[in-house]
Amino acid sequence: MSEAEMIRLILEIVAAAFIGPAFAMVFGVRERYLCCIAATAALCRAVRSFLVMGLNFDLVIAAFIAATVVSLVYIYIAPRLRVPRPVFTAASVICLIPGSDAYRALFALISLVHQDSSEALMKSIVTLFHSGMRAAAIILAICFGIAIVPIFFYRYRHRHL
Amino acid sequence: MSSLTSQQPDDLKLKVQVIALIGARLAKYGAETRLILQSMDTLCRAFELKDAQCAFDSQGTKVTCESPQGQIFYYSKVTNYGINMAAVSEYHRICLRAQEGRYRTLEEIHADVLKVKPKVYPRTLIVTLECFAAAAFCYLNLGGLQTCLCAAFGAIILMVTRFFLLDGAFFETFTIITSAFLGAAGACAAAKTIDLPFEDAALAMLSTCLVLVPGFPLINGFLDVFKGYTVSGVLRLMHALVVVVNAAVGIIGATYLSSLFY
Repeated sequence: MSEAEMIRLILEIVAAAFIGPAFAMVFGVRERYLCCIAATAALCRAVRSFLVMGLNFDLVIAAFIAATVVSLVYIYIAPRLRVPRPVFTAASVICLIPGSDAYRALFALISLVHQDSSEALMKSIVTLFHSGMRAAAIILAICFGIAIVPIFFYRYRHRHL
Repeated sequence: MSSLTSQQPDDLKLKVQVIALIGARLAKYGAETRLILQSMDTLCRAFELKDAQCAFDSQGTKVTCESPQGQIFYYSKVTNYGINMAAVSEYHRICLRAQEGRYRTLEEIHADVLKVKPKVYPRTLIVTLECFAAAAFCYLNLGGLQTCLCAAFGAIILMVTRFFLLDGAFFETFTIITSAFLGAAGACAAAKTIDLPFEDAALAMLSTCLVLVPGFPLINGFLDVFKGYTVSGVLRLMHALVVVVNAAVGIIGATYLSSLFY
């Protein structure tokens, strides 16, 4: 990775470390857990950006791996803090939400209404599907990364009566 | 005072009530279905209710228990759903303490359950942090410094509008559409004021509304679906989809408004 990419990575990590706790506070997470969320949000974004910028991974795969790392961390930490895992994991992965793809898809959808020429219409349709599918795939990858990992570690504990 | 293992009819009724109440409160504050049912079963074990049946649906929680005097049933309705992770954590902790035998009487548990209040941060702090979060979102989506400042301005308008409408007891749908519209329009107006191109204004508008992302319902919905609670999982995912569509409607409205200036 070049020096510019390293600086970009560090600034993205700082931004993610800010977004996670801010999002968590809207949903009433206690102050004592905000540092944990900031650390794992930073880790999540660091993993994702390193995979994309450093190892040229696809965005979807990188988002899945980053969400999986966060889920694995809290499978270990959350029981020790006696707090349910989703309290931490949902806020930590918010920094992975694909804003740019979502806005390209949204504006392509709006421009479909106004297009007159067939070339512009085709371009809008292609942009809508490409960016829209990529945004949906990244969001699904994030949710799968969070949701799939625990089912490898836990069974139906509540049925053991 | 009633001990946790007492099988007197009045104590059984209180136990069933406490279990149903904790389940309903967990559901009210946004816990996933697995946690709700697991917590209720944990309390059944702590209270030595071997033949108790716990159930949860979108309307509330019910607990049924057999006793020598007949069946005891309690239904706790969930009147309105929200999300508050501090309350979920506290109820979870009460269940763990009951499981570890750290309560001596039923009344202690009941008092602790009733004492739990949702955690709410000061609004000034939330608005300030959300405006910085919107700027950070903008940066993560390759926005420049000026675009980030426009997103921060839009987020202030969005959050102030949202709190104003929530205080007025408006529907959540209307609140999200209006606050997304006004926040995105504010970001666009700020971008136009400092002569940013339309692409940057669009990025600022979207970053402003990213604070409305329904992260917890989305994650909990997937968790429910993957663990076999399909109905409750799909309901949560539908709720998340409705929130996303509402925010998109607000952004689309602001985009049409921005076409007057760009």
